[in-house]
Amino acid sequence: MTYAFLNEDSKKEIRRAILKAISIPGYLVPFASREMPVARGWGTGGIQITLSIIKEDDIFKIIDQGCDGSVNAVTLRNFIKSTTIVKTTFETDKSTLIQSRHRIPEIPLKENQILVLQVPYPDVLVNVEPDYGKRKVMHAYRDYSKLWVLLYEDIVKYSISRFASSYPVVVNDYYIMDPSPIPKFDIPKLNKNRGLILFGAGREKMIYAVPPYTKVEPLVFEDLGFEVETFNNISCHRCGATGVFMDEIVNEIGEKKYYCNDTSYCDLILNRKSEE
Amino acid sequence: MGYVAVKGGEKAIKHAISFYDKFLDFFENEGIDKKNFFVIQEILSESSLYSTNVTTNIFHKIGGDKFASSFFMRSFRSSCNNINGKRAIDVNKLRIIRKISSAFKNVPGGQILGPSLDYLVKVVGTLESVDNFNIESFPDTDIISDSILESFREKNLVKTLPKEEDPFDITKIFPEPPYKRSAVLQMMARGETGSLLAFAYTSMRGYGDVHPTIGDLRVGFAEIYLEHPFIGEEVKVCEILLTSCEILSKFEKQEDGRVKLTSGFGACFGFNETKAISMAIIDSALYNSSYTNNSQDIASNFDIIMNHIDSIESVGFANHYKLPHYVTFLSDLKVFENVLKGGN
Repeated sequence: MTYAFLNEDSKKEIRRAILKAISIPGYLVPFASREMPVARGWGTGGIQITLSIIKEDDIFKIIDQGCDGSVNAVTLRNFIKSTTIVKTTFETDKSTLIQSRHRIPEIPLKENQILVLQVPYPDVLVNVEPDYGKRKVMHAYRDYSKLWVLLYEDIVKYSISRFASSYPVVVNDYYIMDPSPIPKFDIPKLNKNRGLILFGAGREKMIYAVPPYTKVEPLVFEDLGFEVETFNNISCHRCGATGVFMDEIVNEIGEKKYYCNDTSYCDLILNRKSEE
Repeated sequence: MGYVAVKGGEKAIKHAISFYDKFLDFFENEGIDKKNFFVIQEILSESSLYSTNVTTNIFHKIGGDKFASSFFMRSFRSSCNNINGKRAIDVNKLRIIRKISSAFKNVPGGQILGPSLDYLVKVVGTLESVDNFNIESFPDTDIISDSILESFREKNLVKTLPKEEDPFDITKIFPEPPYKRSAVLQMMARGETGSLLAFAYTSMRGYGDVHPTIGDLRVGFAEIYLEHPFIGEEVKVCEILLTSCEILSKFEKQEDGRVKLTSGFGACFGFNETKAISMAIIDSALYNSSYTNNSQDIASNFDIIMNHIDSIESVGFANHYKLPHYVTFLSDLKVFENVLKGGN
């Protein structure tokens, strides 16, 4: 099999799309999106980006919903391992290339790191306009009025927007972008991030990017502000960490326990404690 | 502990893939052809008649045409007597072979992957290299556990529709609008997988806005009880394989002002995960208000769903165009000629 599965022409096409995406932050760049040995919707966009940019000396980490060991992360890691010679790791700060679904790791990215996020719905405007052609025109004119109306109506009805994950963001004061279904908790991490963040939507055939140190702000009315999920007075039952995104787990006897969602962060804190 | 269980992903995947093969072997012994297991499951659900033997037989005889097999089975059904009216099956009571929830990392009763190729990288040739495992190291006790949505319902967090005292029976009367929900679910239960999937996908992609979280997806055996015609007692007559799916969707303000989560449900005969998920999405689109502003959706239209998912009807009609139509076409031509004359 070819190194990194895809044929070289496909990789070249994807790299060109990536370069264009980096040049126009938040802009949706269409790409051909090859059929992959994993099903559409299971990370085919992310995996195509990863396969196109992964170098022999990369150290690869892949997480799914915060966890290195969950089923789809395992499947994709094994697939990457079987077609490349790269080393893999669970440790965020030791990796050079991270593919993730629905989370940005708790440890901030460094300048030489690339984060690839898997995306189900690349275009935030799909919430108000199903037709792709019309959405393209709306983006071109930066006509985001329908999205503002949606936000407004939610606030009138529920006093809060119903966007929970995939909260719309304004990139570089220009395009409005879907940040992939990361929780609101992770939205502030996008702003002026030191690493390169690439977004891949395989089923919808789009690539987009947030280059390092780009301004990214949630779409909010200026008098209302933005609230992320909070876990006040809650610490991880396993490592004791606070101020991170937590999983809520009900154990067999019905007790509710909280654990770090980012399992490698949890391991890190636990290791540090045992060394002390 | 849940935490450990989730990290056991790698081992669970290997077992799920390996169990897949064992599972197919089991059904081969029960008379369902292993090579065509899943297409036979589709036919079982579309026939609205659960007979693995007859289905397998007819499928083989006619060369594996799925639509024609469902058609044969549906017509066979018309010749069978309905001896016991209608019975409800509680999917919480299924003897589970597979149960997953994507809403939580850990759920009561655990995540049971069962037989599945979901987690296999689809590279030709990989299936041959799957490791075998010792099935005897697993407990052989029955697994029965509630859908995670039950706990939400207990806390009154989920919108529930009024219970129907007398459910509809679409096999006896064709439903008229306004449709009872039992009729809608029954229509979908024997609807064609591809049609249901296509309508559900329109909603997932933006023509509508159901972005579900699977609260509970299960495959298992249901015990079927009937009233004995002579002794009048409830007797177990068989077990059938079922798939059911409950999804959670966006929350919505109810008429009484309370805000509740919405849900969707789908269940059908056989091992048909795609179908059950599609059903649950359409159910959710039909009975809950749209979240976003667009009004171009298809899946929330009762008339569309009730009349366009049955393969017996759609396939039959699509193929009737092969019948001679020379009379109608000649009259079309006559009108066409007249128009041309008038136009000149």
